[in-house]
Amino acid sequence: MQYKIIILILLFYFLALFQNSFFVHLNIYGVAPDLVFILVCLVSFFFSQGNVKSHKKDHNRHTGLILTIFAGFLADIFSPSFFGISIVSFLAVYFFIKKSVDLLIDISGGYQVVYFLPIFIVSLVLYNFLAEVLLYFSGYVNFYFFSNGYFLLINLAYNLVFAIIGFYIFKVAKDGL
Amino acid sequence: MEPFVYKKKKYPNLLIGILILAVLVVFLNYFSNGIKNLFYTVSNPIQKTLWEAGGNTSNFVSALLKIDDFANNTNQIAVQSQELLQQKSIAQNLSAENQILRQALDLGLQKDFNMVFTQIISKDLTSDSILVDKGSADGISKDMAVINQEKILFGKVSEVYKNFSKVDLITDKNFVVDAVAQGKEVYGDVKGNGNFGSYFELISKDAGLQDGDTLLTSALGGDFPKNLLIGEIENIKKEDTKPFQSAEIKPFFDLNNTESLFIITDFKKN
Repeated sequence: MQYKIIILILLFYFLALFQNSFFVHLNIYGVAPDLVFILVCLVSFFFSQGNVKSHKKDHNRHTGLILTIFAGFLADIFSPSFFGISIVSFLAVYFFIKKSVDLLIDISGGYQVVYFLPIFIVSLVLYNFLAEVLLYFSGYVNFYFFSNGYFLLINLAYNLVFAIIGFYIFKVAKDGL
Repeated sequence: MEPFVYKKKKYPNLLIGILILAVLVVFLNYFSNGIKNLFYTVSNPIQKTLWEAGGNTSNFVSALLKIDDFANNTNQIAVQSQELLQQKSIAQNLSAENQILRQALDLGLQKDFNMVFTQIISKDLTSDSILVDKGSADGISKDMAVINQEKILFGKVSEVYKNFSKVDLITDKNFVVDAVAQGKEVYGDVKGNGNFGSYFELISKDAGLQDGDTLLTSALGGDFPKNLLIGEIENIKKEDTKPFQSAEIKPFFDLNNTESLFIITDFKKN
């Protein structure tokens, strides 16, 4: 389990660098994919209680939580605001996904993308809403996500493409490890 | 009747978790500058490489998209070819002139400003701000203007670490600068609108502003040198209910083709 955590921490780190230095050039109307957020959703989804075998539950519960806090830390490093905004927003997403998976998914059904996608969309809206509210109250007036309808749609569509690709890569990699 | 089962409450764990998180956040914020500077220092070489690769990839994708447009417009190009031939000789003369002007401009940069050369490392996803590889150790301080070699204004320094600085681009929502339309006495404020958009506002209603007008920084605010290039006016908005007119701006800066910039550390205020 420990080497999985190390691999995922490194993956979070490199994705943070990629999204802020590489993918910003490939933006569509200023929107670039939020790869760290996508991986948080995947980790939360695949490491949730309802989605793993019972003897691994405790391990996975803590793994998801630690990785989510680390991801929030990375996102805050690149953010112009205070530390804590992304950590809190990511934790909210983590608990939302965890609860959703526990309520909705039967373990025997396996990991199905049809469950993941609606959860991902709601999580993206939740994350951006929380982050923007927290940013606003921290004195930063960057209201992007909800200020323009087209921005919201592009953001959803662009992130969704990467989320679907990420879902299958993560699924294959997790089964293989 | 169900037997009584004692269930351990989760609240103490939750409270402990929140407490640990709060302590962690306070710790991170207390050492914020040091932590960010250390992280940027470690990641700097990878990020510079990724920034360059991202720019090249973006240009490649743009070129591919333009090939498609080019194929669709073949007929129009054939018609325009005659005109282009006529303009060729004029363009050659202009090119020579441009070369001379460029050299003069370069000399002007050295003469008018004290500058620090810097390289872009990354861009923030949640705002229009970039990270550059010069900080307080290089004499950088907050609110300094950031330009390229063509005197195009990119933004201003908003946060300074020991070896790195955050720069708010002119399209960031926190950015404001006094500006003037080139060749006209039309003054106003340029404000960032987020998402690589910005607008020119507080313009007198009777001012003769037109689409395509070039905006320059004015010396009114005193924070920025005058005559830095900002962008081009497009889509002027005049409303009867508002005392001023406003206009959208097409900024001149292009992040995809930019790797290095200059931070103006001092300039003549006249």
